[in-house]
Amino acid sequence: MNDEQRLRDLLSEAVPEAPLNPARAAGARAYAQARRRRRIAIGAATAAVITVVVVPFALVDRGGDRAEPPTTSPEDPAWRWVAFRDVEVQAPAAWRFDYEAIRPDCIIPGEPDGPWTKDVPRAPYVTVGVPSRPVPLIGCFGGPATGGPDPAFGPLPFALWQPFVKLDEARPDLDYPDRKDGEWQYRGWRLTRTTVDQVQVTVLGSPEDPSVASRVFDSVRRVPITTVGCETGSPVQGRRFATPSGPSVPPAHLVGFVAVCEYSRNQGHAGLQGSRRISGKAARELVLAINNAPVGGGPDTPSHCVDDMFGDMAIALRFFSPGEEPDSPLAEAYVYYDWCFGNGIVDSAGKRRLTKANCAPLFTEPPISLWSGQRQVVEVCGPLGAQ
Amino acid sequence: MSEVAVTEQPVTCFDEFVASRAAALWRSAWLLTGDNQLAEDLVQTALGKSWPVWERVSANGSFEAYVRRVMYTTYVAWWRRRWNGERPTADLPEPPDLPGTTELRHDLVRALSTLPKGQRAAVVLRYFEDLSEQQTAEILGCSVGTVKSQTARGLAALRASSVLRLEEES
Repeated sequence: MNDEQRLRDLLSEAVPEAPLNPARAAGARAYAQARRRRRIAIGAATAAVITVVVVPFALVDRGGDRAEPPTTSPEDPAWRWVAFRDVEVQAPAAWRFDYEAIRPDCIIPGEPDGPWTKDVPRAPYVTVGVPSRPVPLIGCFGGPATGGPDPAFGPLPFALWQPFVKLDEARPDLDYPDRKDGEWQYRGWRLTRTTVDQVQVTVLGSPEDPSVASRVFDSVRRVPITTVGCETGSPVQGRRFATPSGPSVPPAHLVGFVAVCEYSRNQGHAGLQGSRRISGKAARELVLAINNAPVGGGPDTPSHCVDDMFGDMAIALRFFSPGEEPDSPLAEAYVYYDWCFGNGIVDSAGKRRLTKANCAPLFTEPPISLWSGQRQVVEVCGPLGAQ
Repeated sequence: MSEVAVTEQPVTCFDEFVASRAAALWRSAWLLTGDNQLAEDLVQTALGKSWPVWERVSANGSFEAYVRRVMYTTYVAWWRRRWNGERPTADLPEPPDLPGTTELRHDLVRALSTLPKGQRAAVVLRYFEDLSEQQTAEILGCSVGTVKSQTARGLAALRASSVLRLEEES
């Protein structure tokens, strides 16, 4: 018998019998229909975005400061993609993520270094979503109701303005001047707000760079997966504690980067709030810390919470090989940290405990931050080096 | 494909096709992936991609060949981009059904896993599905010459494998 026939015999002998119903016709049809809906939704959303963005600008004479339209796959290192929910825009790469002042209405014009100015950004920035920081509910006596030149600009005094790009929840129910769509100018600064479905995009451009708004709004798009590598909607948003399907967390040496994707739960589709990448050595250390963590989940303090609620926030981690496309992760894991039970890092192989090494690195930089949690969770997930 | 356009007859026949041929597709998928669950995923994905053209392709009787082509090309593209979760292990998850079968299956998975995806696909099509070089080339979307070289290299690698002794002991 030659080796080709021997191989045939071996293959036939060794292959196991198929399980009962290894595939389902209904599942195949559902898969095909979901692919088709996804293609249609992306195409329709693109058309809708063009309509929404172009019409407001047609009402304003913007002179000759219109930027060149961005490429569809821009590799311009001066620009990067940022996302909130299922809306993605380009922002200047040099503008770091930051948070807006908590109580700008308490800042007294002419006193730029007062007690309420310490959290005011001091450089151009990008801000995404509404940070869950505690806001002091106090009256600010002794200062004007607003330090801005116009209610549309908000109460931050003009002397403290910095250019920014902001992606936030659209709130058409709020009849506030600083939440309305439109365009305003003041001393060469240009403020533009446009709503794209459930997301409001706001750009404040300085006189030094009046074209930044054009570039940002020309780039607006709706996506199912962001450039960072996050799905804009995830099963982790579900009411209870989901388990991801597919392969479990891979060995560290296979991982080039990890997409950290934070979601607001109980919010329907496209609940992505913040996203960023952890790359290289830091990514491999994170993966190692996840795989080496104790099995079984936690830390939990179930007596501290009601048992029919499950928290407001959760994170999906998506693991990629080096240079991989954002829609092709090696595996996924879900991180639950926001409630009194169910905490831990879950993949298809099981659940692991939150530790300093596998949790704190997720929250070191905006737009993903840990603002609240049970004490035992904050101790391991809080800022590195802090207690 | 519009849901309205699908009549009762094609839907039923697709169901019958899946019911009758899914097991055979799964066995090939198992040889490609080395894992029960991944094999199910691969077959389901291939059927999902093929369903929209069921009416058109099945009219000339070649739907299974179409599904196989989708399955193999999906495998080659899929495994380029994903860690497939395989972990070498001494203990197989499924219980052995015959003495010696488990060890043989284990050795086979290990040996096949050492092959690049193109060689693995060619070997499975040629020696498990028993297709000709021409038929294999049509499924993989490459030339007959490529099939010849992929098969030859795959066979040589398996022949040299310490866990899969193809040559008869004299």
